[in-house]
Amino acid sequence: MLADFRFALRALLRSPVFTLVSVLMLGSGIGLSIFMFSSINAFVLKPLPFPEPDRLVHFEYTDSHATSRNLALPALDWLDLRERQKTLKSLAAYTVGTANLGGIDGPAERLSGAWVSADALSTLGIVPILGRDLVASDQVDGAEPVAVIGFSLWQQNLNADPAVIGRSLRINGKLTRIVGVMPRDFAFPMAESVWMPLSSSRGSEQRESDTLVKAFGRLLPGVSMAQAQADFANLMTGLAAERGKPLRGDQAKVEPFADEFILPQILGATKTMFIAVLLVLLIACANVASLVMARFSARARELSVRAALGASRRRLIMQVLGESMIIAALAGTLGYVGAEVAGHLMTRTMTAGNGFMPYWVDYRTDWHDLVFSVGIALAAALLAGLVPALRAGRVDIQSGLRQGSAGSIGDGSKLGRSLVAAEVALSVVLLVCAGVAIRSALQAQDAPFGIETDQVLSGRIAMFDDDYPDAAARLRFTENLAPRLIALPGVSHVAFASTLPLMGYERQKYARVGDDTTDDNDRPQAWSSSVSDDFFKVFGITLREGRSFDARDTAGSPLVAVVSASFAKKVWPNSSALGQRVQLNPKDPESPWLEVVGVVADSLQADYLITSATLPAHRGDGNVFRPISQNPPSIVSFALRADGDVAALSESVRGAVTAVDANLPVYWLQGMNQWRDKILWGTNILANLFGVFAVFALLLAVAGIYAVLAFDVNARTREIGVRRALGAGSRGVLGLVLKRGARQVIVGLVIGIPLALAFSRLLGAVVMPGASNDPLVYVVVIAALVVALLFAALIPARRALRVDPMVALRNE
Amino acid sequence: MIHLGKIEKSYPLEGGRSWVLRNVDLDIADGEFVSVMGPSGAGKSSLLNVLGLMDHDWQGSYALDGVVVDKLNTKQRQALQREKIGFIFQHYHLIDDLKVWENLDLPLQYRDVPAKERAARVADLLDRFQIVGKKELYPSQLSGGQQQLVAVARAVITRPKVLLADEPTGALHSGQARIIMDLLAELHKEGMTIVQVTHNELYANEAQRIIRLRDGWIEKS
Ligand SMILES: Nc1ncnc2c1ncn2[C@@H]1O[C@H](COP(=O)(O)OP(=O)(O)OP(=O)(O)O)[C@@H](O)[C@H]1O
Ligand SMILES: [Mg+2]
Repeated sequence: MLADFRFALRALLRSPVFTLVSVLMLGSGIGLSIFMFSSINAFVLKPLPFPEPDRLVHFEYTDSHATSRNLALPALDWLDLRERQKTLKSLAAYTVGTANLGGIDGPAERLSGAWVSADALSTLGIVPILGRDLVASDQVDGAEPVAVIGFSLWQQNLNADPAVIGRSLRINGKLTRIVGVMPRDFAFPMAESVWMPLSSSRGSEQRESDTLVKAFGRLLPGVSMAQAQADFANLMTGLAAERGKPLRGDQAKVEPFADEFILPQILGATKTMFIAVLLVLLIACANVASLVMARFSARARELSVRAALGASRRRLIMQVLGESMIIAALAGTLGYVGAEVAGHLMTRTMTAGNGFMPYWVDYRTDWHDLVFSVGIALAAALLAGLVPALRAGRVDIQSGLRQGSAGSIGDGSKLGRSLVAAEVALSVVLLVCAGVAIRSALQAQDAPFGIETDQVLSGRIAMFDDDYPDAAARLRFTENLAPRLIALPGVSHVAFASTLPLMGYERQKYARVGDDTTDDNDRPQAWSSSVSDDFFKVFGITLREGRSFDARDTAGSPLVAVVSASFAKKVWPNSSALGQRVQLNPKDPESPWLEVVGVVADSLQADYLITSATLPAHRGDGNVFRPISQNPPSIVSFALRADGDVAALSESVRGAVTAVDANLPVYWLQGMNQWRDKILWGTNILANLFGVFAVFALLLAVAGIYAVLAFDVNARTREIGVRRALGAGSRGVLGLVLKRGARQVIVGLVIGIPLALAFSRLLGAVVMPGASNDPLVYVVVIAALVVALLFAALIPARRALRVDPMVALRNE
Repeated sequence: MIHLGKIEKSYPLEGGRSWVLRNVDLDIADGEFVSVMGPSGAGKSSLLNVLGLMDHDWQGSYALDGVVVDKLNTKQRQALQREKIGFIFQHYHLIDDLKVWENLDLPLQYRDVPAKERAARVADLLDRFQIVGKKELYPSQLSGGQQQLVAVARAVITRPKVLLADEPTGALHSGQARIIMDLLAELHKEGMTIVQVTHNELYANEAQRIIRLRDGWIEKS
């Protein structure tokens, strides 16, 4: 056994090119597989960084009307449910938001913070490393504002002061006392760095409608997730009956804690890509198998001699299998190291805070990955080596020795050829998927955003109640800031708005005069925002009818609105929208009616592309704009159009804001193009990854076709010589070589195209709604494969043409 | 039919040349049957390669059926070879993936003979060589003698003027060899020019003339 391995190793060292090529091919397949597996591992398999993580559950509502969307709980429901529930140790809650850190020890800074119930951190099972946890008395109205801060905030902003407990920070304008410091790497729930008490007062009316919380807890011993869910469902029914009106959602949903944080689309895309890389690996295995086969066919005589000398079947098999085992071991190591490096890079880019992944997702490899790697390498070794090995075991001593150089291992080359056909089929699948992904990415690039994103710089500022108690104060701030911004070099227009295009905020229900809808759930939705006069100029949104906002529109003047063309068409199909009236948020009887004074071109406010496949609940019927003077928001975005490099204006913009109020940090300060890129991120990354897989697949297929053809020409040198001697011309010889390759490609296409249709449909359903089965993609794929075949055949064909019958037939 | 004048052939060797054919003058008449003999390495196969137009890297002059070979380019040489030459090899060299009849068909295909005529000629030859029963078999299913029979049939199916045979009986036992020798004799009788290489004195004597090669030189007898 050991001797067989030693012999295999020596044989591999004697043909370094074969060894290197095989290790690289298998290594790339294994590496990609390990990498995708470690992503899945990071998302779903690794335990959460909390004690007994499988007892942690997330609780929320779902709404059976709106395609079972998950819904956060109104704070009041949480307060009621936490007193009544009996299946969890306690029902903790949190919400996240902006925490403006201002002004004492340095420049203002915008942090992401969480407002958590006093039992939240202890439910997670994480205790502060300094000071204390939040306690119930922190949650009551009128209590002193306190906060537990994150490790890096302590290290970086407070110089790791050991006496930090008791010091105060200005957070959102309030002097807040630090009571605790959390351990390093804690950033619950996603990427937060400060935790403040979530108010537990049932207090004001406003509370009920405004605050939504996410609830979670630990299952009591012996309680299952299903039991908890049933208990909550009962409680919800009771609560709704008690209040005499339906709750925000109509069903309870208790799910494992991690499921809340990983978007199902990302998980779906990851799993699809995992399947795709397994296909790449299969191709690599087929390649190596045909190389191994070619190698041992050429050594048929050696094997025959060994068999004649008394080598057992097992020994022969071991010798061949030994080689593929060694190759797979090397490839597995290479792949593991590659995946490890990619994992480090991925952790860095993903947690760089684009908000897709919670802080605890860690792509670095662990023992799951190690086990998977060993397993996949072993599987690859068997896939690549078993068939050639079994054939070697059946070597026919008689024919091997008698026919001299005519001998070959059974039908080795025939099997090699079917492997190539399989490779081509798999490549077709990957190429088509890549084609579909790339097409939909390109389509997304051309999507009608309806706004000009070039040359626009945007940012956001949160004004807090203590400093800006009313609409007048907030308006005053923007009025002070506007002239400073417009004075900056190159700036031509400045606009303020409650939300900007592509940010995805403020989808509201609406009503028009005469609608007799009683159930608020049935009302249509529109994207709404409050914007200043120059908003449409900054974004290049053209006025179609009526007027834009201007100095006429003040807090005291009649309330007006400008709507988008598609909204006007949808809501008033038979008449002009001008002069019509619309009400936003009709559930609230106080909501005012707005008179439409203008119609503008469509623009996209959603943070995703609205396609035919977008859920109806997410689509929205267009835009309703209000003048900012009549509805000034407390968190305001600004956008300015300027010549040249807008990013270069960042510092002067910050300076302008500081000059108005040094306590207000500017955040999300970036060009509008970055918002655009964020929307395209998903489709782009998918297109890129599939592009990479497809390139690998194509390269491997080319290598496979090349290897088989080259081996074929080599093995048939004598035959080609005979044919030459019998009068074959160059055309005949070329035909001989190409016919072999062409047959594989055709068989591969015949098998691959239906598979590709099915797989790309699956892909479409999971991650790329609306991606069509574009015939162009298939044409391009077929053309690419034909070019690849010709390319792969080039060298073997030349070699075949050079066969000299005299030399080929000599060595008898 | 064949006229060789002062043919010289050598391979480059470290520090010189290794001579394979030296100053070979040879005339073979139309319809003549000639044996080439000599010890191993004497240059017999090399001579046959020159005659068969497989080798063109030599000095001297060569006229085949009145055509001066030394002046021809590759294409013309190939055309001449297709027209005039048939080969038989010691190891038969039938094509493994082709059935017996397909092996016979192949040279005709290479000469763009119409399908109908090909079929007729193949049938004719199968008949004449009494291998009709084997026509659907693959070479590996035949004995050595039968394979060589097919190889001879394949060599003559194009009706070459010159048949070149390099040790056609070398791999056969005497019974099988006898059949092949009888076949060559018959073809000779029909007027074919035949040059065979052999190590067997008996078979060599069946030809009209024996040429003896030694170290690339023709021995004067
Ligand atoms: N490609 C080559 N390079 C160098 N020397 C060669 C080459 N081909 C043949 N020779 C040499 O030419 C000489 C004649 O070879 P050839 O094959 O003609 O011999 P032969 O008479 O047919 O021998 P045998 O009876 O063993 O078949 C030999 O010495 C051989 O080594
Ligand atoms: Mg010879």
